[in-house]
Amino acid sequence: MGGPAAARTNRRRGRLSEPVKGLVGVLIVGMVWQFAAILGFMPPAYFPTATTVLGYALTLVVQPVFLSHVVETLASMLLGLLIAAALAVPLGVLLGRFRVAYRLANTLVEAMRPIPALALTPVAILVFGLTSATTVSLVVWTASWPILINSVYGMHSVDRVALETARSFGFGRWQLIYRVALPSAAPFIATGIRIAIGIGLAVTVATEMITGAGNGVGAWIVVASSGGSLLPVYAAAVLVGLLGYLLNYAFERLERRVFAWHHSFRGEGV
Amino acid sequence: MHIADAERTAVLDVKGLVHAYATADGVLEAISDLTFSIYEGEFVSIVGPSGSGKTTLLKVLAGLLHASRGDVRVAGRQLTGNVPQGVALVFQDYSRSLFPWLTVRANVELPLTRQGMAKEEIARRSRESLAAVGLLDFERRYPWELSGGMQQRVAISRALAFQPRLLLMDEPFASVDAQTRADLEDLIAAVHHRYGTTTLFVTHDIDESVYLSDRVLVLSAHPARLLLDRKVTLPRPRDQVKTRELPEFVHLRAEIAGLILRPKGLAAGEDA
Repeated sequence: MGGPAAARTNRRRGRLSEPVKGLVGVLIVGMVWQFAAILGFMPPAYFPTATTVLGYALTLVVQPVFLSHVVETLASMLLGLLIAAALAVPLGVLLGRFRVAYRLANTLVEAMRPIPALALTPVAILVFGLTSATTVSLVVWTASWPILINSVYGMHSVDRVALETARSFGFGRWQLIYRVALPSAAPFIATGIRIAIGIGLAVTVATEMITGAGNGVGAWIVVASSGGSLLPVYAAAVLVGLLGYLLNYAFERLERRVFAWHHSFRGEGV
Repeated sequence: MHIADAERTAVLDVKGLVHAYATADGVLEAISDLTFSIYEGEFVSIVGPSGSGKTTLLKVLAGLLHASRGDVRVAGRQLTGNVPQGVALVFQDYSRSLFPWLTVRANVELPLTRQGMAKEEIARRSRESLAAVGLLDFERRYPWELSGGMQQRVAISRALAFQPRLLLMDEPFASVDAQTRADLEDLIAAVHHRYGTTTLFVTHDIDESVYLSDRVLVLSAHPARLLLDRKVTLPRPRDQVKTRELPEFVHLRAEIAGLILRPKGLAAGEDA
């Protein structure tokens, strides 16, 4: 079989170049920003140069206080994601497997999904106060939808023949779900979680900025920029962006490893 | 029909089976009043034109579809809307029937794990059945890493490991190339000789049905009725070249072709 070996060399060539390409894109935008700032195309009070921001960001990553805020942000986000997955995956499996449940819930889901976490912030603050529980609850709200939708989609795409095969071997209703439907829907569920990670990070930082009194990168940005300087805002934004990129990258690698069997990953990863 | 049959154990007993389904134009019968038996150790083929309800029949026998009327007994036990015990089904579509997230070995072992069988016994059975289809060296691979013919061998091995009273096969070789098909035919004949598993083999290929079987049942199209129930006394082991040259083979093939091809004329050549 020459196929897999040939695919492997192609893949290796492709994978090395991908992050490099991405870095080139970042460098180009950074240079445009840099020159625009130096040449005075942008008011210096609002737009410090890229190198200034980068320099400031570098001082932040070695600053224990800032790092503790990053840890706080990550903890809120992960807890929110965990709760969201614990709620949305079983619900998605239920809605995806049982048509009646899907019909009953579909309109409600589509109507609630567009409600932004921001609109619910006052409710969360009333219930949980100015604590990280407020942040977590809003992450749960935001992160649940992509996980739910992808779980339903994953359940709907379970192969009928695979289910019939298991049924013919005497698998019961619940065994069909956890032996066949769940494993086969897992790559879709993982995609939902990966999307939720990105949105979850954004919502965590945004909520921390509003609830203010709490910890986290969002709260740090508000305090650091209260003197009128925008430099900390940009530096923190760059670092949050980098954090999001790394989380996404790590999760994608994990997906490739765990779901190497899935047709979208075959011949890649591991 | 055959006097000796009365003394043998019927593994499958079908009496007056009707399967009808509702369409926009009213109720349509896919299977109409089908009666036949299959006895211990027999290899029986059901041959009929495409769309003659053969797959529907297998799904009813496997408990995946409900019969509208009639009586089906597997090893003496009446089908009651549940999946009957001791029946294994091999699908035509091996790539969808195998679970891509499981290795070859795990695919073979999955049906056994739910029976509360001891680990050693499960391992023994999967090794033995994988060896029987010549895939022991591939037990750690994933199905999608294998060729189509090998994937169908995994599916056959999974059914064998299950040690069914009745093995149902739904056009298992319809999606592989001619050479692989001949190889798989000989493999299934060898496996049947070795294990003696009672087998009901559905195909639209007349040659294949005669080549493999102890008995051939010929079905009509729309709705499926039994046109012929014929014993095949060709000597075993059979040979892809020599058996197909024997007068009995040629004669049987012509007789069945006459039954299947005549009513539909040219249209019968449109097999998928």
